[in-house]
Amino acid sequence: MAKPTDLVQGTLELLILKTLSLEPKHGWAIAKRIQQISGEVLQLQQGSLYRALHRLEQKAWIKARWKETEAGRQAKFYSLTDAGRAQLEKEAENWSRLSEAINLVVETT
Amino acid sequence: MLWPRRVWLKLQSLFRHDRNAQRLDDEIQFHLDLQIAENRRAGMNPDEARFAAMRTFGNPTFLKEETRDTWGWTWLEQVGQDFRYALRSLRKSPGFTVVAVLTLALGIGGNSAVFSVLNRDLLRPLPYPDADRLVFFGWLIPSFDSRPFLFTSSYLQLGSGNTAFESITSWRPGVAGCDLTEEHPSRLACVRAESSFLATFGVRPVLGTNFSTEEDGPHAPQVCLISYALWKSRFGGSAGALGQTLSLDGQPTRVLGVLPENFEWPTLARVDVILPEAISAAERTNPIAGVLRAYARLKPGVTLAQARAQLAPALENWREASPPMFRKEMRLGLVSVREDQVGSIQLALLVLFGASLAFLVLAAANVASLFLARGAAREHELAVRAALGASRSRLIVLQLTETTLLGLLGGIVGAGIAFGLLRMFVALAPAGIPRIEQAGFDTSVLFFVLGASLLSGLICGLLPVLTPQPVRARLASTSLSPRRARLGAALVAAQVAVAMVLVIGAGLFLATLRNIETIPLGMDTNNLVTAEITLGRAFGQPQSSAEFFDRLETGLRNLPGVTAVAVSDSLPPTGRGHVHQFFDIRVEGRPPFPKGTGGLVGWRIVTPRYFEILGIPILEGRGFVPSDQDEHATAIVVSKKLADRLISGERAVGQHLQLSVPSGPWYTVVGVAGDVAYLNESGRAGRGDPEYYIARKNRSALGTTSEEVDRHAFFLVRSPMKAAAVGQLVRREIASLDPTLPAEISTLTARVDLLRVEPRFNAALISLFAAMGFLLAMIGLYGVLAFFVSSRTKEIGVRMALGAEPERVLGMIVWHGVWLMLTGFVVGAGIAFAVAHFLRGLLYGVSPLNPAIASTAALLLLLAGLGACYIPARRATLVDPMVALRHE
Repeated sequence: MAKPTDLVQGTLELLILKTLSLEPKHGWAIAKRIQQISGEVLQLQQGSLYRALHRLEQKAWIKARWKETEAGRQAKFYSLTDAGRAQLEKEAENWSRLSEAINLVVETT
Repeated sequence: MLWPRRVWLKLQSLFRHDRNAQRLDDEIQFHLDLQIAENRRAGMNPDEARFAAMRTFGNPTFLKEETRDTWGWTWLEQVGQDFRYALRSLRKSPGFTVVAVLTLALGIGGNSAVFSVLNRDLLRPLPYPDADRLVFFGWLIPSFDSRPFLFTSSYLQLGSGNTAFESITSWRPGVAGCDLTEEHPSRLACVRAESSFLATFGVRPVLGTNFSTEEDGPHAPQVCLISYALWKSRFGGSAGALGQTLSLDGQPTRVLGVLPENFEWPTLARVDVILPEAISAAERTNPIAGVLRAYARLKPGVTLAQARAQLAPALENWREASPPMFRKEMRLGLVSVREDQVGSIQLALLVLFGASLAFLVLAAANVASLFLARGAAREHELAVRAALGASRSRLIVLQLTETTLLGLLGGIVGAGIAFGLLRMFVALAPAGIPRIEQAGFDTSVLFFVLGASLLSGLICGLLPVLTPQPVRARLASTSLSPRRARLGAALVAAQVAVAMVLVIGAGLFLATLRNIETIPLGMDTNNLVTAEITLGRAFGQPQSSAEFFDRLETGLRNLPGVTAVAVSDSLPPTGRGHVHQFFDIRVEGRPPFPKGTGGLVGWRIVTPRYFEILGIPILEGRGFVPSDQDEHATAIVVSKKLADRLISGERAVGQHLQLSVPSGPWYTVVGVAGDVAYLNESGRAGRGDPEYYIARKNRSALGTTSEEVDRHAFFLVRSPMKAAAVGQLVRREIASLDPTLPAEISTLTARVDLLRVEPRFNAALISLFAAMGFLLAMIGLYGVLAFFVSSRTKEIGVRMALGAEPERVLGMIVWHGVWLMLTGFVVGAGIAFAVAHFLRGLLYGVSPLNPAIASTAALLLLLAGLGACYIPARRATLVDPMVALRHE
């Protein structure tokens, strides 16, 4: 099983942070949301999501709480911390700079 | 601030590991359940829905493991696993473990003991502020004094003009015994120092004040500073001590201040009392009267080289003004106080430390070779692990864990060994090694032990690993790889070489010790009790002190069991008594000796029975008789050496001598006495000046030394009884005449013995290291050979099956071992010679290149080596060919 490259990994973290910026979600919902919004383009292996989630949690960018879902089951809900929000801004900005640069290169050649 | 929270999270994941793992399971199960539900809603049947969910999720076990990795404690789990595994594997082979731990313990222990001595001596901070700016300086005139000194007048000239020094100070050389003559008489160590002494060294009295420049003058009433210890013992540490009066050598002396508890005299000598230097008017003007030791504090930023350059012109001026006999060899001596303190022992200690460090590395390499010897079984296991997917680094870590564990165990035992060694060092150490009694265990030594343990663990773990071979490929093979064989052979050679160096060294030092103990002294030291007495100034007139000594002599002679008593002003073999220039003597009827030739002549003042009591033979003429003990007597006894030098070819008895040309009185030689050895403070025979003897009370010969001779005497008491009992009687007799008079009572044998402490220390130390090196080399040899044998089991089996004689096989293995040792012998002998040449100053009467000692050492090692070869070789011949052939 190939490990995701750093780019993909970093991107996944950005996507998670972005997804959580609206409201707390549990893992499955995060995966669904990323798939939906990207128009099913980003097919992530759902399992690898948890590795990223736990790493973000260790970095204190997101925090987790066990709560009951509407269906009455215990689930782990992740939400952004203040540090996470700052990190999201930074990474989003990085990302747009990077994609602009790539666009520029791709379009001029 | 994120990091406190991150640390908290990390700790949580460490201590709630199990709960977190459970929760991760729940979390993933929840995810899968939702996915399955969704798949069901999309119309799949239950089984399909579950498989589809699993597919989109991936391998949950693997993913869980990866997720747990993000918690960051995987390495700890692995260390724990490795540690438990290492413990198990060490417990499984107790013999191996014990040998390995002991080997490492020897290396670590020896090293740590040496380090703790070094730590105290060479690495400790001196108890003076900015001690690196303190220097000791003066002229160095080796034939006159072994340490730099200055004549008082030149020291005084130095005072103002120098720009390199912030301040200078001086003291009169020699810590003199001075007697506290009170109701509890005792002998104190007194020095005379300039008033600037404490200020230059940056020391303040803890109580009271330093003496002033006026109090340091020649006619001032006597004052003193006392040591902290004396303050405690004499005054009970009371502030009332200030202004009190001590009676020192019968002279009232006012206590001005108390020195700090950690105060040290810069030469490390014990000092109880500091008296003012009190330079006299004569010393100020006469260019060669009065000798001082000078110290200075350099200005900040001034280097030793700059200071030397500053002093160079002054030295040239002094050279012009100094007596001709000194001019040629005069040079400037200027060293830091630290270097002055440790300089002489620094070399020896550093050599010792180097040796013991090499030793530690060898011990570790040895354990590595034991690991190699155990290799076959282990390799199989390692190969299986590698085949199951363990990475190479993981296997190395596993091995390192095991060797580090061994290293730490070795460290624990080694600390015990170090402690024992240290106690032994301290017990054996000669007085010349400063502060050794303070060498002990402290934190830095413990850190050193820990460091040494880890280092040795690392070495034995990495050495075998550093032979990179794909472990997998060797799953089915136990054959000997050439690389490992070479490593093993080099190891054995290195160890044999080190053992050779140590054993040869031990041989040389033991020979030195034997030579020193058998130096012919020219006298009989047995059954002689000595008592050294110095009378206080209170005795006043020479008449009364002479009377006192007479009464004491009579009293001692009448003691029960005493067969003879003699009095002298100095004692062989150390005390040189008084000396003057050889060319100052003139023989009647012969031309005077040319000025500046002949070196020094020693002289002693003795009573008639001196020669008889010390067993010094009178070779010609007679000794002294009571009638020679007279102010106007002219009898003189010369030593054989002096007779030969003065009056070669003629009969000495009856010749007339003038001892101080041109005006001194004339003497008549009445006898020639046998030569007596002169030993220096490390027990070696010095050059031994020629000597002459004058009868006691013949005051005409005394000149300026008369006061000292009047007040100071050694009593020699011969008795066949036990020395301790005689000593008691002597002490009681002295006390019955004057209860306030301290006397130093000893035996002549003990006084001579004191000189042999240092050679004994050297010999014991190096013998100990030699024994340890010997042991190490044997363990190493055994380990490597056992490894060779086990890897050749198959070959040996084939040979035996084809009909080889067991003796042939035995011979083959043993020969192989001897061959391995040969290189070590040659290299070791070479290094030993170089090292011994380097340390030849410590040897006596034995050449560094001593074939007898070298070949004995080689023979000894060879014999022990044969023993170490024999065990694995014997085992090889007992191999059942069938087993050997199946041995895969």
